Amino acid sequence: MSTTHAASPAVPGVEALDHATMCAAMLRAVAQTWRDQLRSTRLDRAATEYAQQLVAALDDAAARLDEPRGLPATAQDQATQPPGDDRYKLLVESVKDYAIFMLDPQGQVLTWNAGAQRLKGYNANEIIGRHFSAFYPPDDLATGKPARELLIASQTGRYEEEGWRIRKDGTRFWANVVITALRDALGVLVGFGKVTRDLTERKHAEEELRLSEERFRLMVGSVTDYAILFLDAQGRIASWNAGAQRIKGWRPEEAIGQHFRMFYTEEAVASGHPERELEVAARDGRYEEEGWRVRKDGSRFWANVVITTMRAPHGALLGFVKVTRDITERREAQLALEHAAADLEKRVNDRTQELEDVNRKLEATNHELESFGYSVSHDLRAPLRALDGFSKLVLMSAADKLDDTERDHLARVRAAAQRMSQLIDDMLSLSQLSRATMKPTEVDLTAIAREIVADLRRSSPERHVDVTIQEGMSAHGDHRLLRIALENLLGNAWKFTRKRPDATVEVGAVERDGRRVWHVRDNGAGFDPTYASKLFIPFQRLHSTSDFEGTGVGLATVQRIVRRHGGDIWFDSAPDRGATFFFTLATP
Amino acid sequence: MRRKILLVEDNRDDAELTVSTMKAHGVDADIEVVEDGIDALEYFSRSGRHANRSPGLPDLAIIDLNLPRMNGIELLQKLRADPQTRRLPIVILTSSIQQQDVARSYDSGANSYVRKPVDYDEFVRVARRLGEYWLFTNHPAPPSAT
Repeated sequence: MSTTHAASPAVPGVEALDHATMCAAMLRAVAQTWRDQLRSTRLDRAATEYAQQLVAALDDAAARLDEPRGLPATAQDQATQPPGDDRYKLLVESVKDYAIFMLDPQGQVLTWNAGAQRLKGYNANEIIGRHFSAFYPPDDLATGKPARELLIASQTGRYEEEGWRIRKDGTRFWANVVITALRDALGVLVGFGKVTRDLTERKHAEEELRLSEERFRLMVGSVTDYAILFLDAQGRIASWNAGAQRIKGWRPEEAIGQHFRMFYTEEAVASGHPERELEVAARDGRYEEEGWRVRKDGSRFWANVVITTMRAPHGALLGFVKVTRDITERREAQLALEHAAADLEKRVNDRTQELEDVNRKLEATNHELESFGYSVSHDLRAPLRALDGFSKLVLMSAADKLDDTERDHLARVRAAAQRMSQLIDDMLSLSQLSRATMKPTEVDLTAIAREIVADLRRSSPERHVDVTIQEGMSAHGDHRLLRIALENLLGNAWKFTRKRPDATVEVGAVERDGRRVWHVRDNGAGFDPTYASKLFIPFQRLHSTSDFEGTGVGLATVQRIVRRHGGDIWFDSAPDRGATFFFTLATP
Repeated sequence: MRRKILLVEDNRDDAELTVSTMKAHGVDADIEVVEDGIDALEYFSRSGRHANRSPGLPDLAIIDLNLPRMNGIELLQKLRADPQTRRLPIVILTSSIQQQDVARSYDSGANSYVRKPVDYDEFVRVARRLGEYWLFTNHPAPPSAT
């Protein structure tokens, strides 16, 4: 573009223009556009300074053009034009980011710059002299928009808008347009300055943002599991989604604009809790809690609430995002679980208490049993001793006065007393057996069996018993108790083979089903297994005292010892065919 | 000089049987019977119903364990704590064969622990041996505990 176009005779009426006045108005319009731009756009410091210098230069140029000219216009020629005019031309022509051009009062293009050529695609000679409505899309033309814009500019001094414009190649671009009315010193309209910027990219960005926001809004809006709402900096509800409506019950029109304290219980509101949440969120960026919230119908629900602070890039508080979940069910499940746990604990405690009570009672019972045992051992014997002793004294002192029957009766009194004394002794040792402390070691059962048999042979040297004891039998258990068990089993075998001339007794062990099973076998009197249930009961006997002496505690004693070792005892027998007793001991 | 035995026994039957077995079977001694620990202590201190007894200590004390008012173990401890009776031969004669009774008796200073048998014939043997040993065979011996 060149200023020669501005002075072209092809533009009627322009001859009368004070060229400088028109230029000054134009410069001010440009300066004003840039000022507006500076206010609304964040630039870095260098760009801001550059833009400010540019605006200052424009203002300066405009001021110079307005200065009263000492020289008459007619006296001026091209060579003596004021320097401001040249600067203006250079400036405007070189601007590439803006289309800057002038229109005559009817809207014909008067001037054209590099920016205009770049933006709109026309060369200066293609467009100068044409009406500026060439830049408008057909629908704007149909409504007479270009003329309306000029009218507004001429009436108000200025018209600004953003809208679609058409390039030479027919493509559209989103333009920021400022039209400034240019008047001469007398106020006569001499034309319009028009500054156009291509905002297509910004428009696209804005559209993207709008779409993104719309998508976000739709997404948030359709979420039903969470109440997601925006609060302004004061806590007033700015948005409301489906989840908020579902969880809290209010419709959007009932909620938006209300203060969010309406979600809180009266107590919480009274204590200033909602405001405190916002304070904390504003300070820390985030606030989270679980607590009671209130629905529209007044019912309460247990909520998980997260409040996140929204701030502008420079830090100003914009508001809050509040996400609320109804976790009443979860809380109830948790409470039920806690309740169940507490209940369980209580029951365990109760049971422990019961067990302790039982234990105390058991201890007391044990103590009583011990006292009883003591009393039995001590006090029950004294009368027996008296029975036996005084019977004997009578027998001695009155021997010659008694007949055989009387002596026999007194002898029976004595025998009964002595037998009862033996019963008391056996009963006591049986009860002590259950309480005796176990000292488990490796026990050589073969050696023990040999010792016992040797004792038995000594006590009845007249007997001939064929005894077989397996070599190398050992067991893990209490030596003393296992010895007592073997004493009883071997003693029985010895006793019940008494009537056999070919008595045999065998002690051995075999592996059966992975367990070691010991046995004591004899070929003696045996017994009828029908009565076997009585076998291990203390003082129960399967043979008459006259046949085989004894108090009937031997097998009960053996059974207790085996049980205390975690083992079992059983037998195999038939009358007159001997008996075999088997037992196991728990593996340590 | 006749030997003296103090028998501490609350059961009259037992006391009579003990006296009769000893006397009838060769234990030549005067046997004084007291009923419990308190009675025994009064015997030794010549107080109470024993205030008028002739002075002097018995040659042997035979003490039952289970006694009213003061039991045999307590009496034994008191006698061993008294210098006068510290070296007195003392035999515990009782029905009990409980281990703790045996142990406590020896721990408290008994010279011997003998179980009273129910069988009279056995009792006679025990009483005779006991009397013979402590009155005639064994000179008063230092107590096994102090």
